[in-house]
Amino acid sequence: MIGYDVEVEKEGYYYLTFKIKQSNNINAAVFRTLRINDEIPFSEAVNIKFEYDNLWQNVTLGDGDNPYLIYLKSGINTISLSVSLSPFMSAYYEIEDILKYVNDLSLDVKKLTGNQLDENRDWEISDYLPNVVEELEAAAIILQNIYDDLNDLTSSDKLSEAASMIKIAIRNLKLLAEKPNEIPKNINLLSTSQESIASTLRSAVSLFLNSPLDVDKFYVHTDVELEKPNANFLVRFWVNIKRFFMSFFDERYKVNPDDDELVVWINRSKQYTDLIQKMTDDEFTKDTGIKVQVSVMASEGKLILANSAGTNPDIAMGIASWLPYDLGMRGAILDLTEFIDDEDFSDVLNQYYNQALIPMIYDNGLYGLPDTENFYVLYYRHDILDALDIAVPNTWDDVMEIMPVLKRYGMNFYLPLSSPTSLKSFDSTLPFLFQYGSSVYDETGFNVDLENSESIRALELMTEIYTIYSVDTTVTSFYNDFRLGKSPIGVADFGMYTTLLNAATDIQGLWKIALLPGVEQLDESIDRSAPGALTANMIFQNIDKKEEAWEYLKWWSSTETQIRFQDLLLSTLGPEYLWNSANIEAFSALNINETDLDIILEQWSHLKELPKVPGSYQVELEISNIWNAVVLNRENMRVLLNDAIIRMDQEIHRKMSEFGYMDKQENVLNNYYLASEEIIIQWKTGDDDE
Amino acid sequence: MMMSKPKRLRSASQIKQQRIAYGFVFPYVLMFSVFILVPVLVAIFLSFTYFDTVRSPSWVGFENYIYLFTNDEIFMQKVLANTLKYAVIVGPGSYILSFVLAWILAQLTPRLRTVLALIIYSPSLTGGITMAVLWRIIFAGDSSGYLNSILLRFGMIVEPIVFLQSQEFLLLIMVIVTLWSSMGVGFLAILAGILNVNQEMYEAGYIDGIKNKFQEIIYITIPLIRPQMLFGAVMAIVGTFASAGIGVALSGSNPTPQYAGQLIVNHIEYYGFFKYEMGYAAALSVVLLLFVYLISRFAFRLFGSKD
Repeated sequence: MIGYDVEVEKEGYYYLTFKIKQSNNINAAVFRTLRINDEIPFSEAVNIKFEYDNLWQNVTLGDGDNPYLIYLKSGINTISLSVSLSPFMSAYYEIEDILKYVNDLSLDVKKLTGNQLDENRDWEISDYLPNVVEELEAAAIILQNIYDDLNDLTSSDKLSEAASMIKIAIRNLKLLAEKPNEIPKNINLLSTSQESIASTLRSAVSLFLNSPLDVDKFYVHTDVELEKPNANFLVRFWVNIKRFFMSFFDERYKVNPDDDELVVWINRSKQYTDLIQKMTDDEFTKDTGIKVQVSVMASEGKLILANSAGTNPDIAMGIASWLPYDLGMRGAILDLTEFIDDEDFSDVLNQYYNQALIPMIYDNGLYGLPDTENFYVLYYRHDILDALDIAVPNTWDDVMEIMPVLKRYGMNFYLPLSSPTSLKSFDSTLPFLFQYGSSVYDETGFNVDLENSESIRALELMTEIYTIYSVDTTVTSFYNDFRLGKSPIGVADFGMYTTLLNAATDIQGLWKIALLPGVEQLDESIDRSAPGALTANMIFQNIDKKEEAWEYLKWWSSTETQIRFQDLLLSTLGPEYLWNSANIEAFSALNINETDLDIILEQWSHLKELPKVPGSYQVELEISNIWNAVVLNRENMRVLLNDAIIRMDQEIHRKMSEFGYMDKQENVLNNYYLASEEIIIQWKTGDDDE
Repeated sequence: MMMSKPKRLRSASQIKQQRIAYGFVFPYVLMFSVFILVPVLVAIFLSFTYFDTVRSPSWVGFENYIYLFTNDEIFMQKVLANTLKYAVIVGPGSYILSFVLAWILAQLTPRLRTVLALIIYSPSLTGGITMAVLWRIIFAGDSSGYLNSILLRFGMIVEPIVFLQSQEFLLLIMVIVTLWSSMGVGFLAILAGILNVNQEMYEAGYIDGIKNKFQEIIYITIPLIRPQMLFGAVMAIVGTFASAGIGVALSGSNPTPQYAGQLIVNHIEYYGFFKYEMGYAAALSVVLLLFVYLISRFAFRLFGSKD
């Protein structure tokens, strides 16, 4: 509810006119409840209608010819508007009931016919689903009534989007009712395709809940003529021309940063950087006196080039988590252990999981701090799993057990390995390797260690789940499949969580998350290891203001700042802007469903990252190629693995010699320190034995 | 009599004319030097160094080239083979296709011809890479991809084929997409050339004994549009090598799966930007330059004017 205080000189009856724009819900009306001084003045004020128009309108509250007379006392009156959905509520509940019916019917049909759609097979539907025709027709009649009521709500003749959705649903219902024996063939009209009854009704329902209204101003007036809500055509034309030219100049003109300003480039969009600049000015600069200029980074690639040209910033934030290592090993990034004597050093590190720091380490130097952290969990449609009587899998063995059941209904289990890109990144392959106990590299870091039984079992699982258990090899969009019920269960990351929460209103409440399936160990615990590094922050080496940069990173990464940033994002920009801070305490304070939060935090206790070696991209590539060759071309895994190991070692040695750890004949010159938790614990506890 | 001072001595107006001529050419020469000549020279220089884009380059002599020819098995086994296969099919293929289509269009009425020419020409404007979005949907690897769903519906396959990640199909698909989007400026030039051939030549040819359209093309059309053919050939060659990004765009990753779609340009990008080995990438690009140069010399031999 939003209230505006109005000072009224003389008490009495006034008219109320709002200058509004309702251009979002096309051909539909939007309702608001009016309150004067926290009381609803009369019954008509419960649902004030605002119709659709592309332009601004002056809406005088009234019933057409007679404007409402609203009594205002002298002094301050509070006039407030709140969203009213009551005209839609009965329709909403009725449609929900029909949706449930349609979903159940669709599952029943699938149970009946199995997943093979044989076009030449006939069904006597009345034998199996005796009342289906009456039920479908009844649903159509209910929807027709809803449709008529909806159209009566607006004065426009054209259909609103919700109404057209309902119209399609009615048509499909009648079609199915006419030919009940073809329902199995037309199952897509029932629930799977975009035009299906289930889909259209779901969209209609979510449209009901959308009631946007732009309010520019309102007038409290008596019988006076109000100014027109829209400027005339010429004025608008001229303003648009002016706007065009202004678009070439940024409102904040590009000024070169002052010498005493800290330059920060952030690899995020303007909404984020504007907020961060504001927070920096209000808090960091006020406390420390260090001025900071925050800008958007055009692209990460520019960083490397800028570094060569010497025009790099002092700090780069929100960059890919592998950049600090790559650039750090080449001397472009500041080793943060330079500040190890700072009393806050171990506090800063203690804000993160040990494993989250591993990707930032090269040669026992720390080249970056995590910014955001990702997580992989299991998403599942509990409505579908319950209907099919499938339990949520805890281990990969469980997953393989439920595969035949899923496949029988034409459904699928989604894994990140099924994404349509051909490079299977470490994020999708490492979980399996880690969970079976493979360390990928040997302790020296000079060679891979994949010839052992653990690694081979992991690779076998990764490939057999596709070749033997028929998980779909490519899924273009898990998000769509999840909503439509084709893939009611799958592994996905934080991005999917935000998307489902905000965009999939039609399956709201129908899905849950669970821990990532893992591998049962000898002591009956389940290893659910998975990586999660997402973005990081780093300081460049070739700058003057190293101390100031370190102070800034300290401030930014602190729990207080992260929590404030989280909240600011949500309140300013909306619920889609969930911030997955790598700061453990800050994330724990995130305003999301508590059960989900607990699961995510527990999944993070299984966080495991692969320490980097020079040439690790080759390892990622070769494992991906093995997967491709085995799953898509059915080649022999052991043979491929043998060849791949040779290439992986070769590339690692090549890179090692490039960086002076080996000579050209592949003799070891210097030890390479594989990043490990030991050094991190040393740093965290401020242990002084170096 | 000896011409002792032949060309040095010129009249004042001639010198002025020369200066004006140089003045006109200067902007182009400047742009060309800065954006083309200098980078090529820098690339040649870098190809003899080890440069990881972060620290300054260090001289290594011919090491990059030695590595290229002896140790880079991916280059020799996959990249070179792919590039040759791709170039041989796409280069002459798109060229012949351009010519055939241009010739067919030249036989039509003007209005129809303009419309069809526009339709054929427009894919080249958008660039194969943006079109990859379209093609990725057609060749999508699950049952919702257009090609897969058609094949499934007609029972020709049982499971959807993962086109864009499979070794067998990726190169073929790259060839198809590139051919489709290769009717570019070269095509238009050839069309213009064909339309400009003097009709009297054909009449004269028929009088002299030419019997059918095919002979007409060989004996009259092609010789008369030599300059346009040369232009089309050069554009085709350059275009072939320049459209190398298609493999990465289609499969979604560099390097392409099993290096099935890896062309020289992708290989260069991979070494330069992913492995931070700019010196080697520069060496590869010099090799590519020589390649393209040799092939276009060959085209000049074929189509260049004999004077």
